[in-house]
Amino acid sequence: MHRSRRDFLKLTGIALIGAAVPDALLPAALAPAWAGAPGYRADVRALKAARWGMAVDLAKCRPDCTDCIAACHAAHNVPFFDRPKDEIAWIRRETFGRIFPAQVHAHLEPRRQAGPVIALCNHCANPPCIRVCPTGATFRRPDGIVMMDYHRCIGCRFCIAACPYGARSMNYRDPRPFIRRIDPGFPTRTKGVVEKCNFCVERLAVGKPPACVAACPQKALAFGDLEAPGSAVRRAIAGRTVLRRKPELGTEPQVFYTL
Amino acid sequence: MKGTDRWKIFAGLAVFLALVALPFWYGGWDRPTPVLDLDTPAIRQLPERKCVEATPFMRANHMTLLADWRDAATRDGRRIYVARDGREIEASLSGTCLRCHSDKTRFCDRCHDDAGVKPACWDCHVVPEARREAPTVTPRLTEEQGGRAPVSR
Repeated sequence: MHRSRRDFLKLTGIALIGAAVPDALLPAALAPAWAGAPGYRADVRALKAARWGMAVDLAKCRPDCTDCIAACHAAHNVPFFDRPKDEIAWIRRETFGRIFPAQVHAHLEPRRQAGPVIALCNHCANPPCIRVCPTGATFRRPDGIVMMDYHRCIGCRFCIAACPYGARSMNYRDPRPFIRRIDPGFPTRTKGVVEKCNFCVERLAVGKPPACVAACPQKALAFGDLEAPGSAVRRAIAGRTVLRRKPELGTEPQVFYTL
Repeated sequence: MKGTDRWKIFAGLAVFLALVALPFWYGGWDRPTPVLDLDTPAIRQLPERKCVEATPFMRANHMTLLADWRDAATRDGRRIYVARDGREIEASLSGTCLRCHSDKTRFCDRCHDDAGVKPACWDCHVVPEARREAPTVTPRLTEEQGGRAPVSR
C-alpha cells in the first residue's frame, strides 16, 4: 500500500491526540480494574514526624543487657545463624572502641573502650545506600526513615558495600528455619534479600514506639521527631555532647550517642 | 505450487496444530473446576459473607489489588484500604486475607496449582497455623458457576 508522507503525518497527529485523552473519558471497560474504589488512608493512630531520630544514652546502657536486640529481632523475625559470616542483625552490640575508633586514645580507660554501644541503621539524611540501589528497593520516606521494600530487592548487595556502618545484612540462606519463633504479624525475609532496621515503621503506623525503645529497661533509648524541639530525642540530646558515627562522611546519621 | 505438494502442507499443519494443542489433550478439555473451601471458623463468624470487594472482582483482580496494597502500604505508608462500599480494611495479606482464608492449601493453592502459577508471596509472608475445629467438607464439583471460574461455597 502506498502512503504519502502527508498521510503519515496526519495519522501521527491523530494518534497523539488519542494518547492525550484522559483516562476518565475512556469507556469503563478500558479503565483499570480498581478504578472507582475510594482508595487508601493512613491509620489515625499512626505516629507522625518531620524527621524521626534516635538518641542512645551510653551512660545508661548496661554491658550485660541485650533486651533491645532481643525485642527487635523477635518483632521482626530476624533469623539467628551460628556462623558469623551468615549473621543477620538489625541491632548489634559492639564496643565503644569499634564504633568510635576516632575517640580511642592511649589513655582511654580499657573499661570505657570495651563498654557497650548498640549499632543500628542510622537512617541517614544523606543515605549512600539509596544512591546505589539499582531497583529503588531502598528508599527514604518523607519522615526520614530509610526503608527497604523487600519486594524489590534483588540481592545485589551494592547497599551493603555503600553503607559505612555495616547496618545491613544479606540473607545468604533461607532464613525461615533459623527464626526461633515466627511472629505472623511481620513477614520474614527470603533467601537473596538484604535486610536492616526499619525504625519499626509497622509499629509507628499503629501508634507504638519502636520495639527497642519500648524494651529498654534503662530507658537509654530516646526516639522522636528531631524537628520538634520538645520531642524525647531532642530533650535527650539538648545540652549534651553528642557523638555520631563517622559524621565526616557527610551521610548525616540521625542516631545520636550521648556519653 | 504443484497440486501434489498441497496435501503435504496440510498434513504438516495438522501435525503442528495437534502438537501445539498438546497441553489441552494432555490435561483434558473438560477438567473439573477448582473448588475453593470457604468453610473456615473466621468466615463462619462473619455477619455477612463478603470479601474485601465483590467476589467476581476478587476472583479476577485479587492479584492486582494485592500489588496495589503492597505499594500503598510499603511505599506510601497508607495501610488502610477503603473499599467501594466504604468499609475500611487493613491492607495486609497475612493480617486480613489469611485471617479469613486461614487454610491456604484449601483456598489459594487450589486455583494457583490448577492455573500453574507460583506466587512468591509466602516466601516471606507468614501463613498462620491453620486452625480448623470442624472436619472439612468433602469438595464437591458444582456446575452452576460454569466456565473456568472457581466455585465458592
